[in-house]
Amino acid sequence: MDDKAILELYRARSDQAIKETSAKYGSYCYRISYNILSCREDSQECVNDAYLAAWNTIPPKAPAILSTYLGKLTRYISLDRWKRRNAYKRGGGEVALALEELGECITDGNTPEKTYEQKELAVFFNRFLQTLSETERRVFLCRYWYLEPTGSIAKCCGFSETKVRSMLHRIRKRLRTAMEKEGLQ
Amino acid sequence: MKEMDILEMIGEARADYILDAQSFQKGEHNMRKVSGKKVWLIAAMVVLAMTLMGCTVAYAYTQGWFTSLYSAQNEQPLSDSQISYLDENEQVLNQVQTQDGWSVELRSAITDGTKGLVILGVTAPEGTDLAPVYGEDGTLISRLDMVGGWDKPIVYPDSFEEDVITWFFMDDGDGKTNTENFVIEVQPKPGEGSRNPFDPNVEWKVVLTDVIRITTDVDLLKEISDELGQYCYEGDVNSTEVLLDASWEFTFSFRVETAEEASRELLTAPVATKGQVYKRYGDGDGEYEYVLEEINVTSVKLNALSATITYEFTGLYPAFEWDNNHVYAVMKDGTEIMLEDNWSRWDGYNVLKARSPIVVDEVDHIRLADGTKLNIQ
Repeated sequence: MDDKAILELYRARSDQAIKETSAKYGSYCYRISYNILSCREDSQECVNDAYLAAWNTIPPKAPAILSTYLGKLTRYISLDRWKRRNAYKRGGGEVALALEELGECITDGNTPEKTYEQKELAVFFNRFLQTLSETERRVFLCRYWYLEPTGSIAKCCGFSETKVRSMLHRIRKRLRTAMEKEGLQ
Repeated sequence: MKEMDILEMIGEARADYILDAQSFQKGEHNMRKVSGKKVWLIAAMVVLAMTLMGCTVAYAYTQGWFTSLYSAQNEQPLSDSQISYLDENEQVLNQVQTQDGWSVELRSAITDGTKGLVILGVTAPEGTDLAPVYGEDGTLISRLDMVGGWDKPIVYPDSFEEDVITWFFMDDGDGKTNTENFVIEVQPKPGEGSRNPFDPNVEWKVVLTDVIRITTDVDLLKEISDELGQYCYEGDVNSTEVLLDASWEFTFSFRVETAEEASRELLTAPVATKGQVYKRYGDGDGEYEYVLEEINVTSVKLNALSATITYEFTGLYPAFEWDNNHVYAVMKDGTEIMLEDNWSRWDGYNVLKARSPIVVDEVDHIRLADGTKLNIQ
């Protein structure tokens, strides 16, 4: 079923909307969640929560790209669960590694921090993404949006893993510079 | 701002970027997952076209491996002149080594004087299935590799200052399950004072180590599929199996004579253009700034498989890289060949990879990212 038809089901408040969403995007959402949580049961629950969130927000929302809308909901819910689960201990998996890597983007805290709204952060970050080449943008989002291991990314893009890591390192340095300029430290 | 805040901020990426990255991780933008059937079909079409046009005699003297390779990477069939170029410049090497029933043949090499490609054939014992395994939706579930960890499959005696090397398996088109081709692409940046890496006197080594099969846990995938629908993805359910503990090492030299003749300098005087650059502060390990800058292009050397763009920058900072995307060779018949930025960029020059072979005499002009046209002299 195409996305337009699925969105129509949401608007008509038909239970079939969830079934069709699950059939078409279930594995996509599950993978996003599993990359974050590394736990089948938790990932499945988060995917179900994402369906519920979609049910509660469509309408009034009418996402232009249903897959990424669902993906964003899943990512947000899964990260939230990861944070709660790891409140008292350092968790393993790709999130912990990604957080360690992203630590490079943070300075010593001497720069006065500016308070930003989520919308402003979105504008800033997407402006930063526009400065990347197509390959860099893809590699960066595979790593930090989809939380894919660097080895998997290397296989996808045909580079060595060293090259991917080096590329990510350079992008993180540029992100740090851009954040400093915006007073985001 | 904490690390988690940054991770959450990344969640705000534009939907089209997220979608694009998804396609990328599913392998829709790279060569690794080119369907074997498609490769064979295109190769067969090329051979058929050549037969109809009376080119079978020329084909008989070469292996045609690079014609198959470039055909597989392009939706449009190669032109006669592109096929001629590849066949005339293909170096047939035919070196074979066998270990424990596994035979590896160094089949052919080609270079345009800047970029090199090597094709090897792998033949496993009868009954072994080397083909990649795909799910019903085209997802790669299992594949082979012959390069482990941090190794590189190809080196030459002088150290590279930096290099870009990619490798992948592809269907060899013989219809047998125990044979595959192994393709290596190399884009070296020679170190200070080192020899031209493609000089005929320079010896290269191809080193393949072990045969490794990387397999996704099918049961887990099936479970996921049963629970969640018809799709399955490769991912963190992979396991690695060493099928054979062995190594194969070959030496050879590239042959560049014909390729060098195909190289053409397009500029007689510097040309000003604009492009996105990474300005670097200090010695290169410092901060970066990504800005639109005026660039003085001093040389554009067009080769058959690549283009090298040399440029100058007269700003405040001593070094920078030009993010050189969206460059095309526009042919006289109006068709375009993309010159891809495949990360082969260094201070002062970029080497772009031609998506398909460029017959220089048939090029009308090069179009840079800002629309600047560089006409062929």
